[in-house]
Amino acid sequence: MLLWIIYILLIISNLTVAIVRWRQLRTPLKILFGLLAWVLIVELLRRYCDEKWKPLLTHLNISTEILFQFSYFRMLLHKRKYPVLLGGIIFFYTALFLAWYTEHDFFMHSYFLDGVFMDLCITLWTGLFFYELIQKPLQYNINRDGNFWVNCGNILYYPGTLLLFGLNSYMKNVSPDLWDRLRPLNYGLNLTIYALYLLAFLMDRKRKPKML
Amino acid sequence: MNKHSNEIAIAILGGSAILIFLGFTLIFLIIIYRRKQKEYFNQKLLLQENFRKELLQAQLETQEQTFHSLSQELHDNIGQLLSLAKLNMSLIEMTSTDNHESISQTKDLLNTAISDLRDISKTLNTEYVKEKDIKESIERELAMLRRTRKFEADFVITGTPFFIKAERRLILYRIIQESLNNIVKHAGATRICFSMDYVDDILTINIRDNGVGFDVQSTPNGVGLLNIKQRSAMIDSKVKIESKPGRGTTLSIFISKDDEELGEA
Repeated sequence: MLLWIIYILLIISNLTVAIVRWRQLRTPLKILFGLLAWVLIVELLRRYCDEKWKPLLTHLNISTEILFQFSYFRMLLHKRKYPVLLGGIIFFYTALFLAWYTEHDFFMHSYFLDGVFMDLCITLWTGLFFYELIQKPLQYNINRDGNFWVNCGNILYYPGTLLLFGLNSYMKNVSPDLWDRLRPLNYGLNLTIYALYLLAFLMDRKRKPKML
Repeated sequence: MNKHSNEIAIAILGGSAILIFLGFTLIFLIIIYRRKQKEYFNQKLLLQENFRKELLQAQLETQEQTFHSLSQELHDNIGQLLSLAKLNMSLIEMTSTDNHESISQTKDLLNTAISDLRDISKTLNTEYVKEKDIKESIERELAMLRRTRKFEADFVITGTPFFIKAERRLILYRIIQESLNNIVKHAGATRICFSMDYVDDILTINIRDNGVGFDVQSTPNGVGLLNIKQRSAMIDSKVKIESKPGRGTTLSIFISKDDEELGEA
């Protein structure tokens, strides 16, 4: 419960800082603001809704989260990387469709295969960001770039939750107690990503055009 | 069953830990890579800057040597010839009974030529400029301009003069010569106001003319202005140019004082 409260407070802090620094934020981070607002709503709904609706909310969250991340990376990465982004999103929704086609009540179960696909896509996109980053001019200060911190969070969170999403349903069936003991790992990763997002909102600054 | 679920839990924890560790490693490597790149870039910039300074220094030394040789040549050779010509004119004046007026005019012209030659020789002589006070060198330079009768030149000094090392003084003098030369060649001015203002540890030199002026933003730097800026950087001084078309030009030089104990021995 304590971790959940910290988690919610962290998301609210992110949103507050983003609103305060809105004018200084660049467009990709403004998209992340939308993602965080969405995550906050879903988390609150999941907390107070009936147990049977929780998997549906999580599936809905995953499908929407990847759309926000797609828009974020679309604004962030060079337009030549657009086919990779598009490929990722097509792969994700095709896999989701196939999962639903195979099992029509897929969205009502805690089998988060879509979470695994999302983690794979976002990890790949984050890798592309880092690839672009090392090619940027040396005068470019990465510490002052909020997107660097966002992607530090992404590269820790999304690969880190890959196995948790993949084996979630299996572990819940095999040993619910043990699964409960693994849950803090998920919260820990959530806290890490949102702490780094908070840093990103604090550090990000629109660059003024330089007079040369 | 319990053992099996424990193994699965360990696999999840271990697998997640490995993936998170890989994430950390990637971030760490990128930060280190960027830092190393930046260090390399800064070193390269420093080397380029040092090379540029050394090149400029070498250029200046060569120029000073040329000036020095030219100065000696003017003084020892052409100066001697003019003096000899003046002596001969005096002898002709003593022996001849005609054309006294023409001979006297020629002698006057020779005197002017000898005097101008001496001034030019002094301005080119590195050692002379280094030995003399900057004020004296500037006054001589302005006097030469006044003698052309094309320019009126004012010279004002305020504050208490302080010590500037001979090498810096020489380069400062060359900057002033270059800017006066620019006024003569390009400004179309009739009046030059020169001021030296010593305040605390800063000497501010203003050279103002009433010439045609130019648009500072849109006019590309010519060789003269580039020379002024490069030389100014060499002696850690700052140069500011203010000008507008039809409103004349003001060149300001800001130079700090030198510590006399660390100055010339």
